[in-house]
Amino acid sequence: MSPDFLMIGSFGLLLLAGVPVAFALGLAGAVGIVTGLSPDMLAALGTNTYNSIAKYPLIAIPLFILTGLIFERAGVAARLVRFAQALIGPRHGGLALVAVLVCLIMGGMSGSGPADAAAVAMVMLPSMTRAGYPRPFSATLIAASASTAILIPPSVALILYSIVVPGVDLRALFAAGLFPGILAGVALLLPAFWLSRRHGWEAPSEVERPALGESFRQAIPALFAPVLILGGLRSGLFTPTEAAVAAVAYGVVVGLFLTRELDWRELWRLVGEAATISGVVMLIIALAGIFAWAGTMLGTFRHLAEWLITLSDNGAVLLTLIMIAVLLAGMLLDAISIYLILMPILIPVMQHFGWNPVWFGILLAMNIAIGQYTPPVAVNLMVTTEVAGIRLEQTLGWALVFVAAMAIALLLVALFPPIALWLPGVLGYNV
Amino acid sequence: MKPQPDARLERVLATLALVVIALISFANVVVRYVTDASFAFTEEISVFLLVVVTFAGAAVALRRNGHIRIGLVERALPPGPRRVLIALQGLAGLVVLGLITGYGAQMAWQEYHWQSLSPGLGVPQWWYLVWLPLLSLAMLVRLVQQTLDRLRGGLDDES
Amino acid sequence: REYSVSTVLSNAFPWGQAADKWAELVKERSDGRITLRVYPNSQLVNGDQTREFSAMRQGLIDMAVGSTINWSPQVPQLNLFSLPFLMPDYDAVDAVTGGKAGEMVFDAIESRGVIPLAWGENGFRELSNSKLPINEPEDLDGLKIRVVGSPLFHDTFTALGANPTQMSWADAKPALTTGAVDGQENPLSVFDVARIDQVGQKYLTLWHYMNDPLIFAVNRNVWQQFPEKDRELLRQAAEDAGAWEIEKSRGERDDRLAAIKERGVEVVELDDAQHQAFVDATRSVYNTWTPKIGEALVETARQAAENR
Ligand code: NA
Ligand code: NA
Repeated sequence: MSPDFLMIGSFGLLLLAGVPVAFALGLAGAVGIVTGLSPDMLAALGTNTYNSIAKYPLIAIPLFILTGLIFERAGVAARLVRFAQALIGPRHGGLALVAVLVCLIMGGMSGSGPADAAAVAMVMLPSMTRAGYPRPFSATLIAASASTAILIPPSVALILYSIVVPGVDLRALFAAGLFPGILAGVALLLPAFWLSRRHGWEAPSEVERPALGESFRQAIPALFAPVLILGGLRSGLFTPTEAAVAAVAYGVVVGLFLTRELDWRELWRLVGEAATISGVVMLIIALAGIFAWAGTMLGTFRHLAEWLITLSDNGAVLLTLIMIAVLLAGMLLDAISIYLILMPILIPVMQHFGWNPVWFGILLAMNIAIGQYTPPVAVNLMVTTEVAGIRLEQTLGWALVFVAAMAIALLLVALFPPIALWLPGVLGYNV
Repeated sequence: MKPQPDARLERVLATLALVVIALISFANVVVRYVTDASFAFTEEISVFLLVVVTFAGAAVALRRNGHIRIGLVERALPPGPRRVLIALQGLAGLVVLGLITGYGAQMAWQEYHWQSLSPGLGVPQWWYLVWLPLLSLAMLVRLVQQTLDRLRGGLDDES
Repeated sequence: REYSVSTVLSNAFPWGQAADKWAELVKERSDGRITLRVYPNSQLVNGDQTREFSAMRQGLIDMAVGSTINWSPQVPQLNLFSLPFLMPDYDAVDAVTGGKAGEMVFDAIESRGVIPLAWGENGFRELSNSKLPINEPEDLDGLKIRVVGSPLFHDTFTALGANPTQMSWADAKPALTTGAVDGQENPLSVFDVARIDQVGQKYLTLWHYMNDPLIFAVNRNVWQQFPEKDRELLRQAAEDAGAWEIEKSRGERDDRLAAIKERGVEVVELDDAQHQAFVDATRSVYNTWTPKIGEALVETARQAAENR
């Protein structure tokens, strides 16, 4: 058997056996090295593990994870919900609209979805349930809406994409993610709205409406956070890493002095939580470095890319195939792993067909966002179903509805690239 | 949720490292805009601290069985075979962490032996590198603890 | 078997072309027995070019065409070439690398566990930035400049009043793009091919403050496994590839400068007095670094440059 095959095969087996993705990548890389290169080269497990993560741009990842945690724990989700409720008022589907809207705004403060999903679910699920929405529906809707956090800047997945794909400007990626993220939110909202009306969830009279002015005043600090992050990047005042640390500082001020829901002890705990989550994400990056090194030295990625290109001369056909493959991968794997495993194979294909790397990165991100709420492995759904006290299997039907909805948004961005590329162009970034 | 097992030492280390990263980055932004100076050369330290955050944080997550993985097959198995699978998972992690610890130590030792310096601050490179085998060893210990807990049925296995 | 050759830049640049030429000559002269495969962009060390030498010493990389700057963390003598304004022109460069100083440098590399074979050239490094034309050291005040490889650059740019920051090439272009750094220093070929002008670097000062040679080298175990005949073949091919690349890249310099000006980059050429101001401002670097590099080596190189 060829070392290529042994490496990829052992990776698949280890994944199925429930070995953590990071270790599966490292061990499969070691298998490739031993069978295809020389056992001496296992030394890559020292050198390349270290090199893969000792990179300055990666510092933005723990900082944006911390930003998200701080804002969630600072109680901004509840304030955003009250403001959105005051704005929208009780009507069929009103709370569904509130949930989607709040997830989108929370996505503008955090770099990845699961924590957003948990925060919004905790605030919204009780009132949605009281208003008559079935728990599995609410849990799935929130999980799906929270997945837009990796599209709406800041985004941990897009930071990684800009590092893996040489020459792509992270600011352009961040700007390009905004409208596809909003579009995805709208795509989720339409079926949610229609279902609410059809089933008569949330009768217009049943829910009390908060005062608009007061709830707006309370929501201002939260609404300002995405403005600070995007505006700081746009004005050239901040680099992405600096934007991340500015956002952390702002969140600390909001939590300690404005909402006063944080104290120093809690802050220390949150930093530890952010470090732990970062450890999970970054360990995958470290050990994917071994997998990538072995795949490069063995020529595995080169062969796979060449094989992919022979499948079809037609770019549209190949793009469709790639998107289906990523969708399937997204059922099982997380965003970071998918980027790291697939990009060495897909970059040559992207260059072969001359696809715009920013647009392609956004398409992948949308696809991977869908993966965050497709069973069986669905990080966002896992947290919302836990909050809702239901089993993951109960959400399957609703999940299919929302997968189809966001897939349509994905198709639109694929057919009309300006949805992604217009904003970075207007802001003057190279796309 | 029931209380999770903790890796206190690594948690404190990872937390401190991230606090220092945030403070250095923040001070750099402030100093640069106020005085037009900067201490950009400290980026080498931030990058090193990122390595500490990664491996110390990963050790904490390991103790809690919190690393991303696919638990489908595992959950479908009856208790007996599941224990075998858990042992195999532990073994796979043990091999990877053993290799990282061993070759990480070799790398740090070689750089010590050849007296390599860091490119930014010119301090001995092994000062930074030696943390890879150390923290990888800590992860290895946490992996063993976690695997034993799970074999005794003490940790939840959903992922 | 196939041997891996690591480079930092691809074959769009003279650097990568040097490695390609080496591979081509070796294949031709060994009748296809020995194959070298070039891996550009420091991909074998995950983009961290300052760890290339260590990886080659460990056997993770069989061979490399590397810059003296990137290998200086492991071989302190290589800081010689980074001493500001040591070598004023190509003749001085050739006198240093081709003479006694060059031999001393090769001995130093061999004593650190890697076999050096031949010289190439990355070129004279010129200074660019996004803020203002640089005519005198004072213009550098407060500019954040990306450098790589050695704290020597920290001392040089600090002496000039700038804020140096150490960063690999893989991180440098995004950093220039986002304005995380204001300036960089690289040979004209790199400025031209990597289209540094597109990331806002509008001002270029030709100050020739240093020239980093490239070195063709092999892992010691790999070298010892070759029979004597093949070693000679590899060394001769490296020398021929290096000579070919040096001539080619020097010959292209004028065209590159014209192309850069064509794109609207404001190019500053220093007159003698302006140039001297930079030389004077960086003299302190020699005090700190001569002992670290070795008195004898610095003196030998200085004389070679003077008597060119
Ligand atoms: Na986000
Ligand atoms: Na999924």
